[in-house]
Amino acid sequence: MNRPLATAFATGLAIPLVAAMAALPRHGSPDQPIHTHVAAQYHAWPHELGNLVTAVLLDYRGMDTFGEVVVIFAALMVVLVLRHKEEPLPSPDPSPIVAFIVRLVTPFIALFGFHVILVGHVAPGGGLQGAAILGGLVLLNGVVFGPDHVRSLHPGRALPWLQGAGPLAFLAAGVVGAVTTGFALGYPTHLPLLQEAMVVGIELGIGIGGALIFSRIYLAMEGA
Amino acid sequence: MSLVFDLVLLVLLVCTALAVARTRNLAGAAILFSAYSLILCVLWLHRGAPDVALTEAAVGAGVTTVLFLVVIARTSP
Amino acid sequence: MTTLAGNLDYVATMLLFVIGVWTLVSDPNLIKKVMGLNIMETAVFAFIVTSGALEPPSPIPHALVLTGIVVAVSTTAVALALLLRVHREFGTLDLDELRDLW
Repeated sequence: MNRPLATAFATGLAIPLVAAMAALPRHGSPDQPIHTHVAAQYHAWPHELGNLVTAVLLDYRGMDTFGEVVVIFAALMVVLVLRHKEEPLPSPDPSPIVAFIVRLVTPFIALFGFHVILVGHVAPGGGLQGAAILGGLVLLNGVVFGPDHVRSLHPGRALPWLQGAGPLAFLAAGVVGAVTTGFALGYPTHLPLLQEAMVVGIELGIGIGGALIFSRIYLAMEGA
Repeated sequence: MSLVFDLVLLVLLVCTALAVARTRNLAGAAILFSAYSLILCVLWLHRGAPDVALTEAAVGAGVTTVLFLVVIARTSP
Repeated sequence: MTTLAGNLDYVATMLLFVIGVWTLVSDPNLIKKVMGLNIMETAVFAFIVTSGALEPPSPIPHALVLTGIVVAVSTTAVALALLLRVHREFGTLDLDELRDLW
């Protein structure tokens, strides 16, 4: 679309949107539409987890998080269908400063990523955050040292089902919840140890599965 | 005081988004997009959202920018 | 006008959204279109989190935005994989040239 028509369209879209912002309640007032429907109920229900965000993601809206994990797995499937073998780009020659720093901080970033996954139910963190950190770490090493260097980090032929660890963890938790409480993803409040084990198990599944999915997408795009 | 910080962050955000839209050089636009994601991460921290800030920093600077740079390296002559 | 000046945070997120739409529509390079899509998505996340800014910040919009960020990354990954195949088949990523080559 040519430039003047696009600018006219953007301006015509901006005017009703910005005018609608004047009709919303004031910034910071509690009668905004996001606080009046379901959020009051979520605040009123008692929850045993320390982090309300994790409680909403895994307990009150557990099915939505299951759907999101299936979405990212489906994205991996599409990228794997679309890939093709490519001749590798000339391997990068990193300067010694960059190579030294990346080699130095990689173990600390990996430790921090696992810590973020495991404390997700009491402190800010969780499975998605840890998956993004670990996946970003593999991508950082791939950019600096070349994709052949990081291909061994990915269990390609030995454990390919680990990439689906997110949906599998949700299915396992659903079965355990159905056996103990009668609902599909119900957390048994009469067995607090089992409830915490289910939450940590789901977080680990999302974390490891998500990190493997991100690194596999990167390897597929590099043509490895 | 926090109102001034808020205003400065929002102005920086809009200016960086305009810069991403107007740059012709693709690698420059990818690096500017990484800077946009970093300013957005600081805005999340200012709004009191540590989970979202952690995810946005790792995803914006780690995964999305690297994927853009891989595609730009493969498709530029 | 007074309520517009009081809601400047929302106005900024809508400006970001319109900048994303403009990039998506007007730039002929396909990679810039994907960047415009990402700017649109992050503008919507900014709107959702900003509307949850009470005096103790309400953590429920954060859960919506977390799911949204992961879906945005998945969409970007699929779009970039499609772009790689388009470049392999046609040799160019410019929409004006693609329109003649198809």
